[in-house]
Amino acid sequence: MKVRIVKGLFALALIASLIFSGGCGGKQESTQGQPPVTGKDWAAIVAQAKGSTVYFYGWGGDQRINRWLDETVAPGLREKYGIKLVRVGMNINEILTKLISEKQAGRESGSIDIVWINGENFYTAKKNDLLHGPFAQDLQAVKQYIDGRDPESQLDFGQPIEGYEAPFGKAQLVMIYDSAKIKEDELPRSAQALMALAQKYPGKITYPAPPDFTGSAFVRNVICDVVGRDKLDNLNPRDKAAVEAAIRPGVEFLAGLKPYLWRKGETYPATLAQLHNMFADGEIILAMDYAPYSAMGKVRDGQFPSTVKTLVFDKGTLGNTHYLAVPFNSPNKAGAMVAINFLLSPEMQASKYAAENWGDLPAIDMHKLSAEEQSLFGKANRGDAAISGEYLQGHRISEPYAALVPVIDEIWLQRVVREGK
Amino acid sequence: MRKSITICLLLLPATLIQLWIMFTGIFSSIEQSLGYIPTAGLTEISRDYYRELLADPTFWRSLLFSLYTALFSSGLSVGLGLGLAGLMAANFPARFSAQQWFKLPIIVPHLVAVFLIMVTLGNAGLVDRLLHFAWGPGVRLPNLTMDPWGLGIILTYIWKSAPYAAFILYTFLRNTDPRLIATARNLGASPWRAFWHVLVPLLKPALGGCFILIFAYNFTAFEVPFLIGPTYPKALPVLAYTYFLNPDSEARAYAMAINSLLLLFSLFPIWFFQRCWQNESKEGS
Amino acid sequence: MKFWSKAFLVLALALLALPFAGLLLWSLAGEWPWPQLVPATVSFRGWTAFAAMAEKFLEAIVTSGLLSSAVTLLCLLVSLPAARALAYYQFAGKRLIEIFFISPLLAPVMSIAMGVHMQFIRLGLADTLPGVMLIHLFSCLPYGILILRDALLAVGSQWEDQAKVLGASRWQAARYIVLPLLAPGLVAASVMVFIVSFSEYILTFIIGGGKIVTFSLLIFPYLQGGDRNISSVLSIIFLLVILLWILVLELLARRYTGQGRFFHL
Repeated sequence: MKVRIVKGLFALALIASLIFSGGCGGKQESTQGQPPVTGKDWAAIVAQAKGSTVYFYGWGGDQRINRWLDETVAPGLREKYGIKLVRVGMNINEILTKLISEKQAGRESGSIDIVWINGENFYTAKKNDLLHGPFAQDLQAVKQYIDGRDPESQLDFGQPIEGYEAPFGKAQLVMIYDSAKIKEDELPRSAQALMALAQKYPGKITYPAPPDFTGSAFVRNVICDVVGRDKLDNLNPRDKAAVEAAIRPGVEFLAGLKPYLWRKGETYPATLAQLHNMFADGEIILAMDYAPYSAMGKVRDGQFPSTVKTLVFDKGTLGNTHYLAVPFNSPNKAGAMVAINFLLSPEMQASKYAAENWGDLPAIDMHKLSAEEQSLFGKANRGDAAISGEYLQGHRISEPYAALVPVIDEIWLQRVVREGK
Repeated sequence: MRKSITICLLLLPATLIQLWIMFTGIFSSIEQSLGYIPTAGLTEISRDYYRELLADPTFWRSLLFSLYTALFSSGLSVGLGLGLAGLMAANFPARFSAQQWFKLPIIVPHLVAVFLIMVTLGNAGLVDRLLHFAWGPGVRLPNLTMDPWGLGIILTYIWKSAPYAAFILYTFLRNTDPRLIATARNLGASPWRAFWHVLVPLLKPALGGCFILIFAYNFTAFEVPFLIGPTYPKALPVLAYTYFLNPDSEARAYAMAINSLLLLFSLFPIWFFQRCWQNESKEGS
Repeated sequence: MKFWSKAFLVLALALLALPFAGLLLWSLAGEWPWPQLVPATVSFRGWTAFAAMAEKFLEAIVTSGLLSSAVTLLCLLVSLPAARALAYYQFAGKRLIEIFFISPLLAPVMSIAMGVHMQFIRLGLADTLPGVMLIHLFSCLPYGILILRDALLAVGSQWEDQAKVLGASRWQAARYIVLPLLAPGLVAASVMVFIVSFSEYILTFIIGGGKIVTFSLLIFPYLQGGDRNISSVLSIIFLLVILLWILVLELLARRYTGQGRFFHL
């Protein structure tokens, strides 16, 4: 009789939970009340956005970027357009998963208004119909300041954009060094000079292990420097043997570099953050970053010594553009468009350019600005030792097709880590 | 009869919450792992996801890695905890404030514990610097964080769980009859032998229970291996989460297949714990 | 022998304490070149960063504190009856239900959370505070039930019966007899449940979808990004909040019962 207590209890709870689960399924919200935003005139969109809240989702691991968005962009947006900006730090994979599960569960009114995105993730999002658009061409700032002929406003890592995202800023790989420790004539302005430097200071150089984003770019960049960027064009990512043949001299160069690296190249820092910590501690003398002016910001913060400078290879370094998109189920598309437009204004782009804020290259075309607007960028402090934007632009090579990236990472792991001496 | 109703009513709220979440979670995991995710356009039930997962060496590497880190960390924690408990019982017979310090790691969240291990045992961490200071250049700690052997994971778990194990075992030790030890000592046993041959057998169920609780946690937890573990191999929960985050809907089926296997696997700790418990109540009576 | 066992204990204590030294040093370190033993320069970067974004951090601390307090309260309310049934009644199938209550400690809670996520979206519980509270409650229940069951066993039912025999009402017996005796157990359970809920990251993230921003969610990117100054400042605050909670609970319990220290975990 007493066994029945527990049995009965379980049965009761099970029935209750079944009813609860089944009965409430399919409850959905909708955005039917939201007026459409496409094809509307700009003033009407601005009026519609007034007083609303915009949720900005993007990577939140950099304190300076967070601060810039919270303390410069958010108050500016509130003052100028009466929009409240809420930043939520989240990795892009997690954002996309969230959108996909919302799509699967049929949630028409989501929680994200702006996503910070590029490359393969943009491709995934667009393929799965997770984005609202095309919207970019409707933005005032895009019409006015973006150079439509720039390949990076048409293609994102080889993927057509078609108005589903608007350029936000440009990044470029730079090497970071301490001028108190490396002499002018030893600077690694090419792969060969890098080898000479490593041989002179054995154990003092390393790079983050791919698939870390920056480490992976560094490996590609060194390969490009050795074999030439054009060798990476027209390669089929599925044909690993062909890729390997095309980049062999570059991979062999990296394997040759291995014995002179930190801990003889047996281990590598797993993340860029680790590499920067080692550089800050003076354990290594060379670091790198895909954000060209972040090192100057770290000097200002006191994380790096004041003698720290940056350089790019003579043959150029890899660059890419990052973008802003609006999810399909954004509850506030008008607000999102106004906010993106604001982020593309010369004031915000210049403020973003300043090293003390973020140090990110502008996405807008300098030639399309008035003299007054251009002077904003002249005033933006990038740090005394920073490389000029024009110099970077002149030494910029484009990223290869996104699908090649994991293949090259794999070849590096096999040939350099496992087989290299 | 009235008593039965009382018992039922007392147990009902907790049972209801737990059963509902468990039932929904397990059912939904299995359903999705078999490829039934209608909202994503997958409606065909198939065992292919399991078949492919079990044929994938990445999965096996992750499983072995998780098993190995969990076994080592829980085994070493319980071993160290036992030693610590014995020494505390021998040295602090009365309530003593120093032992309170050993409770500190229990209240430190795992996230913070990872950071503590990084600044202490990581590259150019405190210990690394102390070694250099004491023995000069050339003497360096091996790579202990984000290393392929998972040493960072194991060390973090030990730092967190050894004091926890020590406290549970210490409570048990203090509740055992002190005359047992006295008798053994009078019969000529050394303190060590008395500890090993008299107390440890008495503690066996507690040791087993402690071990399996720590093991189960370390085997299925996400934060520590994610933050201080290597990129490859990933711990199984991290692998499941990576698949879960992959926007591809088929990847979700793989994530759920891993989850279902983890759930299936947890029957073992449940069985083991139940056995320890039985022994304990048998010896208690 | 005595010397060595003492030495071992001291060493163990040092190993426990050393990481905290690292934490304090990094919260104030500027440049700290390898292989120096102490930082070369002092910097308040971590603290000024915290102050600059104090609004956001304080909001997260308040969210976390309220969430975890609510979870603790709910957990005690649900656990206490169950613990009472386990402690004071004999019935068949008791072992089964005990194992069932403990099972979340032995099973992968994160896997269960990924499973229920879809259902939570359908029920409108995903991305909401109640949803996050529910999943926290699930992972905290075993602690509440186990700790309270042991506490009730230690108290015994005889005092309550005695009071009733002497004419106390059910309410009076609970208020004046059981509760004071049970106070240490309640404190222990509240401390444990609060810590588990307050430290939780991945469950909050899966169910809360980043919309429910707890302190763990805020600190995570800094730990992942390797910013040692900010990470250590946030870790220190994390620990202080937990210690504050323990202190408040103990003071409350002490005032209520007039007894000395507990800090039972």
